[in-house]
Amino acid sequence: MVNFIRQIRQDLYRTPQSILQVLFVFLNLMIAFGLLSSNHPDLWQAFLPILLIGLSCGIVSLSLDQLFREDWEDGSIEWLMSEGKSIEIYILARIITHWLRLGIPLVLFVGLISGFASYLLLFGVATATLTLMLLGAVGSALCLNTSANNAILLPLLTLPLGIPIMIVSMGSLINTSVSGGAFPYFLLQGGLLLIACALSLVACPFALRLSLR
Amino acid sequence: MIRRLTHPKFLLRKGEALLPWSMAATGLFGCVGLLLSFFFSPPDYQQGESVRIMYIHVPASWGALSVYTFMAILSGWGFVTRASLPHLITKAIAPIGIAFTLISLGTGAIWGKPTWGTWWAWDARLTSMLLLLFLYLGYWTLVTLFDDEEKALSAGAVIALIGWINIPIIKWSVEWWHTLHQPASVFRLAKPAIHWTMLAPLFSMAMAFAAYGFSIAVIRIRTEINIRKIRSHQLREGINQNEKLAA
Repeated sequence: MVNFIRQIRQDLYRTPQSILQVLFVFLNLMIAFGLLSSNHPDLWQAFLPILLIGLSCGIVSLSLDQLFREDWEDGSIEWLMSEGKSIEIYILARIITHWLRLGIPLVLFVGLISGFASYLLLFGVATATLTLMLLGAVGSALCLNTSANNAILLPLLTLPLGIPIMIVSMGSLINTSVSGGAFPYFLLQGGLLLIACALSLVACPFALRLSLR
Repeated sequence: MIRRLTHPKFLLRKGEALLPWSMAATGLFGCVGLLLSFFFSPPDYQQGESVRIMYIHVPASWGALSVYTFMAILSGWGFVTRASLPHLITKAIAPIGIAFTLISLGTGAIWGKPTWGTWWAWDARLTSMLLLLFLYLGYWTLVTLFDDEEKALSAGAVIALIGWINIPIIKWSVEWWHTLHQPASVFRLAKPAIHWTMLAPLFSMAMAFAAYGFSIAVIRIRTEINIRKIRSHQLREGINQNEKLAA
């Protein structure tokens, strides 16, 4: 546990530039959309939540390649495995770090843009990004050692897995009036998060070992 | 028993023994099915003649789903027994699944134009089928991108298994989204219990598709095994030559 927290803290100190770049892309897009839609405020209000969740999922999937890349290239992963340390804890710490430095800023941005009006939206963005990172970590680990560029591969692997997450978290915003309350959606998002966590912690170590072999 | 079943030689022999039969079954069921569907089944009272697309569309969709299920089962089998053959078979049958999915989507679009008035709609089933195609393509890209074939097959098996767990989630979420979002009104086909004059060609075509898939699978598996044989043979030749040169 101490190691776990220490690793997260160390990783947070050396946040790579590419994460900031991805966040700025998000900000630029939101400014552009906001300007373009200033003539139709109603349309903007109606589409804003979906747009925000969709864009944050897109941003997260763009950043997934960074998840293990650095540790892979400097040999940390290989060292961890040869030491016989628990790779699951490393993976979980890595994903949580990634979420802290990308997911939390995204939640804050989304809150700023939507004026902190809807806690559902913030919760949706937070869980959707974390679930997507957990599932995408498997794809990211599998792609580490491919010879060709994984620009096509990674989205192809993560896109079908990400669709249910996006649907559920968008559903919480749109269908509340229909289904009577947002509570079922909370449960669904939490359930998907747990499934993703269980799957990821089984499949990710396997994928990393495979890439290393 | 299982050890013997997974032995390549045994499997290849059984498969090849069945191959002529399955090819004959493809031809027979295909001819009977096409005859029945074109001449002996009635046109639909609403859709007219275009309902005959169903006899290709539905078996192809069944095929697409069952091939993916087979892939997931084989991948799980490969992980449990640590044998390489199940992974090899998974790779060999993936293109069949891709072909079935494409046929299903293509005929669905052709059928959708006269029936619903549109080539494509973001309907629950259509969307899940499209995502199935993406799952297949992801698997195929992953398997073909690796240098090391052994590694590629294991990596593909991981994705096949995760994708298989995800299929019901996709199906359920998409369907649920759709039914909550707008109740089924346009896409509801008034379908009474299907009459046997339509069921017979459907069943026959499904058998033809299954037999066709089996035949192609046997041929593809044979090719994959032969490629490996040739490769190991070449390797051995190379080693022998090196030893001769060294001596």
